[in-house]
Amino acid sequence: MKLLLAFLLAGLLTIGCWSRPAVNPNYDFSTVGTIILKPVYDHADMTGSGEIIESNLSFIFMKYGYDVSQTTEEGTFIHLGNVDTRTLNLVCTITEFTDSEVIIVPYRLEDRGRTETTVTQLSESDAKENQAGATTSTITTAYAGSVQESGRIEYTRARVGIILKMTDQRTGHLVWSHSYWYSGLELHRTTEACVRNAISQVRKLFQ
Amino acid sequence: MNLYKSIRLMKKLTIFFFYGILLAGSGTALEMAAAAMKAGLFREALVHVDIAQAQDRTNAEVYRLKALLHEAIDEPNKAVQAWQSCLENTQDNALKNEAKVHIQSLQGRE
Repeated sequence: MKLLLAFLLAGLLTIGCWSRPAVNPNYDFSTVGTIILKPVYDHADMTGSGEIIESNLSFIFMKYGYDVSQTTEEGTFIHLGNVDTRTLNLVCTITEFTDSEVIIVPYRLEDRGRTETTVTQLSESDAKENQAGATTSTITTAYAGSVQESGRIEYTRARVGIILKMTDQRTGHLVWSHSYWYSGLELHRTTEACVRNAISQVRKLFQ
Repeated sequence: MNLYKSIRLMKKLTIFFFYGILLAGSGTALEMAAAAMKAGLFREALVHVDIAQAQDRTNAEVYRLKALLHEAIDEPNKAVQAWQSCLENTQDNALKNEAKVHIQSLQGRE
C-alpha cells in the first residue's frame, strides 16, 4: 500500500513538473534591462531555418510590445524598459524543422453486405403465356457482409522544435532554459506557434 | 417502349446510388479528405473527416487530423475539442503528449 502511494506521488510530481522551464531561483529578473537575441543557426535539414526562427522571435517580441532593434551584428536587442543595466544573452537552437513528417491514419473498412435486385421485363408473348398475367419478373440475391478489412491514408505535417537558453552576459551563468515543439499542417504557422509559446514563457519572467 | 427503358434506367441508377452510399465507409471519406488536403482545401477536407469520424468514433488519429485541420483554418475552440477527444481515445503516450501540448498552447492564446 505504501509502495503504491509512493508510486502515485512520484507520478503526480512528474506530471506537475512536466514541461516546466529550468530557472535559476537566485537570479533577479527584475534587474534585467536588455535581452540580446543571438543569431540562430540553421537546422541541418533546412537551409534558411535559422533566419525564419530568428525573424519569428523578433516578430513575437515586438507583438508583445517590446522595443526591438537590429542595429548591430551582435544580435537583436530587446529592450525591456527597465533602467537597470543587466543584460541577458538569448541563444536559440533548432532541434527539429520539417514540413514532411508522414502521419499514417489507419481505418476499418466494414463490408456491410449488399442486395442485388434484377428486374426483367417480359415480352408480350411471354406475358400472355403467364397465367398470372405478370409482365415483370424479379430476382433478389442477398450477399452477407462479414470480413472487416483495414486500410490507411497518409498525410504530411510540419514539426518545429527549439531550445532556448538565457545566460547573464556579465557572469556567464545560465539563468533560464526550456525546450518547445509544435506540430501543424503548415510550416509557417507551426513555426509561429512554437515561437509564440516559447516567448510567452519568457515574458512571464519579466512581469 | 421508350418509357419502359427510361423506367429501367431510373431503377438502375437508384440501385447504384444506394449501393454507393452503402459502400462509402470511413476509408472512402478519409481518402477524399487526404486528396483535399493535398490540394490545400482544408475546409473541404474537414467535411470528409467529419463523415469518417461519424463512422468510427474511437479512432484517435482521425481526431488528431481533425484538430490539425481546425488549427489550420484558425478555429482554436473546435481544435481544442478535437484534441480532447483524441486524448480520450488513445493509449499512445506520444499522441497524448502532442494533444496536451496543443491544448495548452491553444488555451493560452491571447
